[in-house]
Amino acid sequence: MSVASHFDAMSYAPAPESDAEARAFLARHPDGFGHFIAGAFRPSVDGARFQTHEPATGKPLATLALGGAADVDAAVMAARKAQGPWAKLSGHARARHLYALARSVQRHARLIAVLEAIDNGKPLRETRDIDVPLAARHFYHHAGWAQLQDREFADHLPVGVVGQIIPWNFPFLMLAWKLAPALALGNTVVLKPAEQTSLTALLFADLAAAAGLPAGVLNIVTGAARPARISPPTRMSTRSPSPVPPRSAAGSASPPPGPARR
Amino acid sequence: MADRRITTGAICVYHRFVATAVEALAGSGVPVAAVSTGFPAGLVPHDVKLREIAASVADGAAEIDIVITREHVLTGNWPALFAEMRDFREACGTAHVKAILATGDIKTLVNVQRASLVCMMAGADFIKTSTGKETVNATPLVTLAMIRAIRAYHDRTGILVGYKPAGGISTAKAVLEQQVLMREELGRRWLEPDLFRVGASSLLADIERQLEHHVTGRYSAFHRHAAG
Repeated sequence: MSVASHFDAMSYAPAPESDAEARAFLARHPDGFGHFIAGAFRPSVDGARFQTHEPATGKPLATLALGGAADVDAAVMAARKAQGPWAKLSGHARARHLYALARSVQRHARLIAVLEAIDNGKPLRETRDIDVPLAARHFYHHAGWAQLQDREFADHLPVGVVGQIIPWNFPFLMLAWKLAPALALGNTVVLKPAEQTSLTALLFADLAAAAGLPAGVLNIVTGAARPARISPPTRMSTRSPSPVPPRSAAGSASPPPGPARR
Repeated sequence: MADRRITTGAICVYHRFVATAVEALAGSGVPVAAVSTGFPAGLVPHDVKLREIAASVADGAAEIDIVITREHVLTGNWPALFAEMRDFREACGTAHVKAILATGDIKTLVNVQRASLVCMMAGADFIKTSTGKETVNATPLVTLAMIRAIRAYHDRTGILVGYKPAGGISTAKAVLEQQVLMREELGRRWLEPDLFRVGASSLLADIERQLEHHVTGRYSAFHRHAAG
């Protein structure tokens, strides 16, 4: 096409925020996504699945694995197996892994931002300008922690395997907030994203594997509305409060923090 | 593209320089526009405004940019606004007339749309946002208000009125924002120079810098460009 023909048509060039790349990513998984355990995706032990939807249209976005106790157990076992070697790496070696994750987030920033906007429903202005850049910064920051660990955390040991449940309001950013510090200092993780917004966690798993994160250091179990007890082998659980009491954590629902419900 | 003869739409000057500009641009095909009617404040007597228009037209101005009396908008005196615009239209004769609404002075978007409609009804060929001297000049919001008024007027009457944002547009990116709004709200036709103009001066330097960057991959300093 010549300059003159562009001048006559005055049509738009492809938009950088086009959802084409994100849709193509989803289309590459026509049978849906599994859990990410020991460096690979696998279906639920009992084959259970559920649909996740796009808030803008109400249409189904992808099929995800519905995790049960057996899947959580498998993830915890994988995390336990990986934790010893991971903790034995030097702080510098873990710093390099975290730095690679940060770089990968930056390299794929647009795809992550668009996918997050589609999955969560928040505008692209939020995901592109806040969620994703802050997540990248967290990985960089905690790479620094790992690098300086011998000096700053000389008398500390990693906790071990950490269970992490994150909410739907900042799916990718909460993942970064929880994952980066845990991994930096030698812990391995079983992470359960909110059932409404699991896609960027699963994309991140893909990116982490491609970036060379050792198998079992990060494990992701997806699921919803089905009790899944985090089994004893985890040393620590962390959950972010969400406006609705989560239904897939151990024990009975507790009242949400904040003003009392009437 | 050489045979397209891409030039600026017009050169816009105060009355005193119209004759000089006409002489300098003779043979170039670029028309001279004159700001008029007591630009920028518009606070001189009405008959003086009409004589100023006539004088500029006589000196060779092909386009006249008038400023409205803001008081008529702020007091809601729409008949008075209509009447003065009608007089300006008549004084221009065959010259085309742009109505500068001074949107920064009339403040609300409701005022902007009403003033737009009244000036179009009175025969304005173009409605223009600002003199460039107000604190707030052309913004995307004001553009949206005015071009929707243009669309409403076109839907009712079939008459095509042009739009000119002026003031505060100093980057190529800012022009793209305006162009996108024109294309989205009014369509491809309103991207042509007989219906869309941009009031800018240092903008030319930024366009040159962008072209140079496209060709060389480097931005040059502003002082390397003649305008701005």
